[in-house]
Amino acid sequence: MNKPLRNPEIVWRVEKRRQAEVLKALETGEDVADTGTVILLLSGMMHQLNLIGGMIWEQCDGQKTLADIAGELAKEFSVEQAEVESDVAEFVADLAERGWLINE
Amino acid sequence: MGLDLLDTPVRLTWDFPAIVSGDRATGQSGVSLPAIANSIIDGGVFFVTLQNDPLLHPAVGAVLNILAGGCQLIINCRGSSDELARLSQLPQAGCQLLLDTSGFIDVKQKLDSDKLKTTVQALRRLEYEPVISLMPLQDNLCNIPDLLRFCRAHQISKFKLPNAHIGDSVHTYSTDDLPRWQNLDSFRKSWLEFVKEPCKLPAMEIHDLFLWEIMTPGQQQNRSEYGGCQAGNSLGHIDGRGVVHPCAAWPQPLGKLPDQSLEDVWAGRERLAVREHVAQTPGGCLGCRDIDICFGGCRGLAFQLNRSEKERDLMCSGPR
Repeated sequence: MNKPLRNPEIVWRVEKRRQAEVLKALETGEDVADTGTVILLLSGMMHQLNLIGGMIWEQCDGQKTLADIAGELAKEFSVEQAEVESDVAEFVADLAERGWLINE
Repeated sequence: MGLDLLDTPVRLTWDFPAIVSGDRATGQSGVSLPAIANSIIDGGVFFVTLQNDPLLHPAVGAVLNILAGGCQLIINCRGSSDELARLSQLPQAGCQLLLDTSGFIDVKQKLDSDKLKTTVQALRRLEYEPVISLMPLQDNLCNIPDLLRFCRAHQISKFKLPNAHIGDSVHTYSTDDLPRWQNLDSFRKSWLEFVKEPCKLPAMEIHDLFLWEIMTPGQQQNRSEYGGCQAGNSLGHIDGRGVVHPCAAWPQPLGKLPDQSLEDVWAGRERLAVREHVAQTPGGCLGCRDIDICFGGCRGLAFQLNRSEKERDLMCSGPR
């Protein structure tokens, strides 16, 4: 999947208050891996993505390549792009398998 | 990953203000429906169900224009000629139409299939594919198989049993009319007879867990992500005055639109108290093996109407 696109049948939104809380918690070194910041509704079921997953999800607009998304993420967290590329690819592949992302 | 404490609800039911005689032309209810609609859009709500004869309200066009810009819309309709006339004047906004069939059932609990068929045909001529809907009451549980036969005969693709409304002046039934666990045995028997008939059922949306359990046996896995009562979390209700409640079945003011934003209402102490209440296992459910499946069921009705049974769901006969 080169330019992942969010499945248009999924409605979603960023939970801004929770996202702000998670970013604050991150600064103090808390584990926020299990805290959702983006919610998705699919076939009547609600799902959540954590901060990193949500950030990747937001970038999946059908225009950006996996490398672009990894680059954005690396910039956000001040790390090398190579450090996040495989995580981004794995996450995107997982969501694609669920049908939540499609290839543009 | 926890699903609690969302910023705003995902689904809202909204009772339009009742139009009393003389208001029909002007819609003078003292409430700005477009302003409330804008608050809903600002709150990022996904689904809004308009209730209490919204099609008869003069402001419905303005409200639909606003909500169609950001929400998926569901409109309740009784199928009256006035509603059909209004629908024909409104742009087909891609909304879902819920046809409330309670008015097609007479006092002897007989379904007027001919009248219902005529109404469905009229809606289809307007290019609406109605969802057949019935709010379950003690007396009308027996009509559920008949309605599903109607769905089969007329290629209705979706059937809905929504949750109860209580604590308002809009709905004419009494809380005494709501189904209780004592009504389930006879319904179960009629259901088991019904499912012997060879028929393809429409997609069914069943709010009540205990009716769902009877009507969709063996489907437990499909509710595996059900996290319990969503009142005051992903679900909310707005009454005819713009007051926000946790759910239509849980009348408890949390704040008021458009004076407050939906985000502020959802961040308020009243709403958080509701979620803290929901997080507690009801006393009437202690020791039940199924508590991790139903999470206490409909907590609003139980809180309002079943405190003597330590807030056990009205449809639950006791811990299993």
